[in-house]
Amino acid sequence: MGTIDWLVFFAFLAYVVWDGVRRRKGANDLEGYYAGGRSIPWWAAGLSIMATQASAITVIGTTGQGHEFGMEFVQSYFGLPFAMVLLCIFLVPYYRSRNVLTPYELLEERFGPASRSMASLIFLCSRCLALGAVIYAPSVALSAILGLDTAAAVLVIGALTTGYTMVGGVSAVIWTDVKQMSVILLGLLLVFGMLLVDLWPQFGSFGAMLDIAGAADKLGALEVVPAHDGLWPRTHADVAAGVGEPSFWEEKYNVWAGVFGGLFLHLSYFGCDNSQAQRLLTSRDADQSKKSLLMSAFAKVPMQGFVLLIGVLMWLFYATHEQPLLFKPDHVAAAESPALAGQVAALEVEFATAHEERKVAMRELAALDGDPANHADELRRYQAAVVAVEHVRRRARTLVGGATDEHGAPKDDRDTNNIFCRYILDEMPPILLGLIIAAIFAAAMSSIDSVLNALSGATIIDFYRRWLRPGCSEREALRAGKFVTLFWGAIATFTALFFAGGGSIIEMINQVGSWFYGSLLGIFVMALFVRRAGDLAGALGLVGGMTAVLVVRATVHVEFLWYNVVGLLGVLLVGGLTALIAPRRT
Amino acid sequence: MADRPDGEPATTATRPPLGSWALLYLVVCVLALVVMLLLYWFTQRFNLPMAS
Repeated sequence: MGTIDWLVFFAFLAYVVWDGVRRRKGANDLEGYYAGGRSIPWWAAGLSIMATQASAITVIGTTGQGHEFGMEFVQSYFGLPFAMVLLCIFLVPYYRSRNVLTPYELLEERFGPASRSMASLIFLCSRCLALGAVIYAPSVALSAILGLDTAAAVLVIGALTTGYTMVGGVSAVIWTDVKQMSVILLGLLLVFGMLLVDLWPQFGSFGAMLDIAGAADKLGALEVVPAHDGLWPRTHADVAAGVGEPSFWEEKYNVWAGVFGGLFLHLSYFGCDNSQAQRLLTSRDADQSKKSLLMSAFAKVPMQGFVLLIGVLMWLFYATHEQPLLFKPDHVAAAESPALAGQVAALEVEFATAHEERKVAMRELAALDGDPANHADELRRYQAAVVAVEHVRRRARTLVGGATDEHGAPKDDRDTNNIFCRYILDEMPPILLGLIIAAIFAAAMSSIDSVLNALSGATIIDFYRRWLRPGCSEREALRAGKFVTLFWGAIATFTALFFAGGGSIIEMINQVGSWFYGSLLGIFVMALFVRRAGDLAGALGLVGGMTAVLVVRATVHVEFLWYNVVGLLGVLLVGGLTALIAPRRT
Repeated sequence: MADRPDGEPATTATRPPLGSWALLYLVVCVLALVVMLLLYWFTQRFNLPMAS
């Protein structure tokens, strides 16, 4: 990375920190610090909602997901537009009917203090668990790019973001998010442009690129017919023993899991997770909040498809150029160790042959007229070559990764999150490289700052001012809020330092969220629709929802998007039954 | 109706896009379905599952 890239990168960092810190003027009371004085324009809140969700994981992890698995991941967002509409109809008017600073405050008014505290605690746990990964993912990328130690990158990201969030509050979060989202989009467009400039002369048209990527099964963006139609889930023991047929619930991505499982995930994430729901409290009125939500409803699925397509084009790029056998710096370092060097060298030779065969088969298929499906022999050869390359890569990752399964056997240590970084480091020209790295940094900060302010808000409003210091002054609560922002920033940074996640981090974040989100959604659904439910029903309902997810997770093999439905049903079932037995006292 | 302190007339702030919220919600849902249909076409047109 050259001097000019460093300059671009540091200029962006300095601007973001300055922009965040200068918002401190409006953060001189709790409403200013946690709700932006209710004066944030809808479009800024909308961009902030998108930026919060579009973390560095979106840039790094989703492109990697596209490279490795194609477009299938886009299906998990199909429920999002419908979720936004339902939130606009039911939750936004409810939230804006009172001047609350966290959505959980409403639960006390509707149920009682136990339900509010439990819901807020669930939010704190779920977000705290995920935040370490949100800092870790870009730190790994940036450490590889900048030649820094991962711990140093974690500390830089954690300290800078915590600093301006602590000083400027939610206004700093939202206005820096607006700029960060613009840089993220610019960065993604630049990478897309670079890939097109390289690939177009080789394939002659965009359609030809899609034909070849599609022939490698990379463009399955919507799967209507599930691979398995059995509705009875298998137990983990059955799966381990290879007994029985896989069930419908075991398929991670198809249109049904995306629309229905995704609907509940997004209802809960945007409606009940304070890091997003807080945005709905910052605009002037309910109508402005609705507009900010609907912005994502229009933009998210196309944007996610676009990011995955960048990953697919990256796969095409590596299929037509020299491709590294290993993308992860840890893997590359391990491969150089004397104990493994011999085996890796043999795999390198095998990989070079498989890669060349894939290139030849791809050229042959691309040279033929018409749809690749009409050339069965060439297609079969090409697909076999694609599989062979992936097979060697998997063996190499398993050899050097050091990851083991529950039985202690070596398992694939995926490098999904390292592909994008390797590409930009090797291929991006000066200035653009600095900009893309700034975009990764922007994406990281835009998610972390929102979560930090939301964690601080829930801690102060739902616990400190509610239980610890009920009579404290606004000034004291604000001072405590800033301290708590610093506290959560330190916890998140510390967690990230010891995070050791592999595989796809974007999936992992969604999985962690899915353990909790169904229950959070369930309590708000009860608040709106189960009139008889009181505080006991609310609290037991939350316990029921969380328990249902734990039981399902421990016993049967069900993909994570469905946990949201399980949690919701658990809350409604237990809470509903409790409400029948012990109805709310009026 | 009085203007708000920021100078923007209150009527424009409360007027839903496209004239009514119900219509806007319908447009969002229809567009979501159209995007799914486009992706379905895209998959059918370009994607070839791996031969098992």
